[in-house]
Amino acid sequence: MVIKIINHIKEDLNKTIIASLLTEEQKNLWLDLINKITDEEVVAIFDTLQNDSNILSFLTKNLQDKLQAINSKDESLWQTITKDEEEYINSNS
Amino acid sequence: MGFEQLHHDEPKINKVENPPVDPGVSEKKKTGNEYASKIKITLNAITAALMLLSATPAFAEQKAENLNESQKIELQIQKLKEQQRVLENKERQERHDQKLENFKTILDSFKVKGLSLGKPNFDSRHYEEHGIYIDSKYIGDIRNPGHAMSFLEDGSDFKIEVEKLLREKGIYSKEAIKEKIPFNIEPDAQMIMNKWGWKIKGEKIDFGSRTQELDLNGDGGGGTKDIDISVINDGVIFIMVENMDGTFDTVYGVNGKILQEFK
Repeated sequence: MVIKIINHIKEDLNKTIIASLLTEEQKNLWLDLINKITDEEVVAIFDTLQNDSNILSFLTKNLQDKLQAINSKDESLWQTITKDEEEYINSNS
Repeated sequence: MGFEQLHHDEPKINKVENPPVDPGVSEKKKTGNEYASKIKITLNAITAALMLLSATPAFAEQKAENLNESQKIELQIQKLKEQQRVLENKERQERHDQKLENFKTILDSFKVKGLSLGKPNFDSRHYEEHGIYIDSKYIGDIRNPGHAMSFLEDGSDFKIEVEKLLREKGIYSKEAIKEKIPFNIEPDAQMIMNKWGWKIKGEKIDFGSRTQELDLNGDGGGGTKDIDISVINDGVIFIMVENMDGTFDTVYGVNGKILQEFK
């Protein structure tokens, strides 16, 4: 039962991404990520998007920035992202 | 079943602890905290997922505190694969470097000043190709003319193609030719040649005091493959030149004089 629900959520999350105004590159990045993350992570992302559809652009930027930071030797990139995240979370608390 | 119920247990990657809600805190504030918590979970989820998708597990490991056990194992597997990739790349690079060293040695053997490898003018992407330069001036491209996609590591096929290109362009060091063309001179023949004052210069025989030269580079097209000099009779030298096209030229030397004109 839970597996079926998770699959349904994953499917809905994919549809949400595909129907969004993101670029094809950004959509593919999300779809690739959704395909490889855990069920808990799928639910967390889906839940967040359901509560606030406007957050997708912030999350997408976060995703792209992290991808760049992970593949970079520049540690400061990651610190900047963490700082941005804290600011965003604090502004929504 | 709602989404809240699906992760009513604390998610493994979630390190956010909601502060105890004071009865006096407004509903709006409580909702805000819950929302912030969800964002935090989502951001952690993105981080965790990217760690696993990352091509640099070593970097990811430094920031892997949010990964669950399964993800950590996955990360270890990736790390091993990464190490294997690094090792394979290193070996490949070493082989490549050695190959280029072989090629440089071969280029040096042509004794053409400034002869070097460089970027090809036409890069097919499917075949190994090199640009040949002299003092930074582009001469031409070379590639393996057969079905092979790359040159052999010892450079034997590379050497043939460079030589072909240099001949086509009329660039060929006489000094290199001297070294390249095998002169098979019998000791007895060499002794007689010394007595007559004959000297080998490149592809020519210098008759010394007679200030004449015999050019052994026949007109067979493409140059000389092999030169044999032997004694066929007492005091008679036989010179046989095998051309690149498989034809032969012959000449006799008697008492320091040429008996048969070389073609």
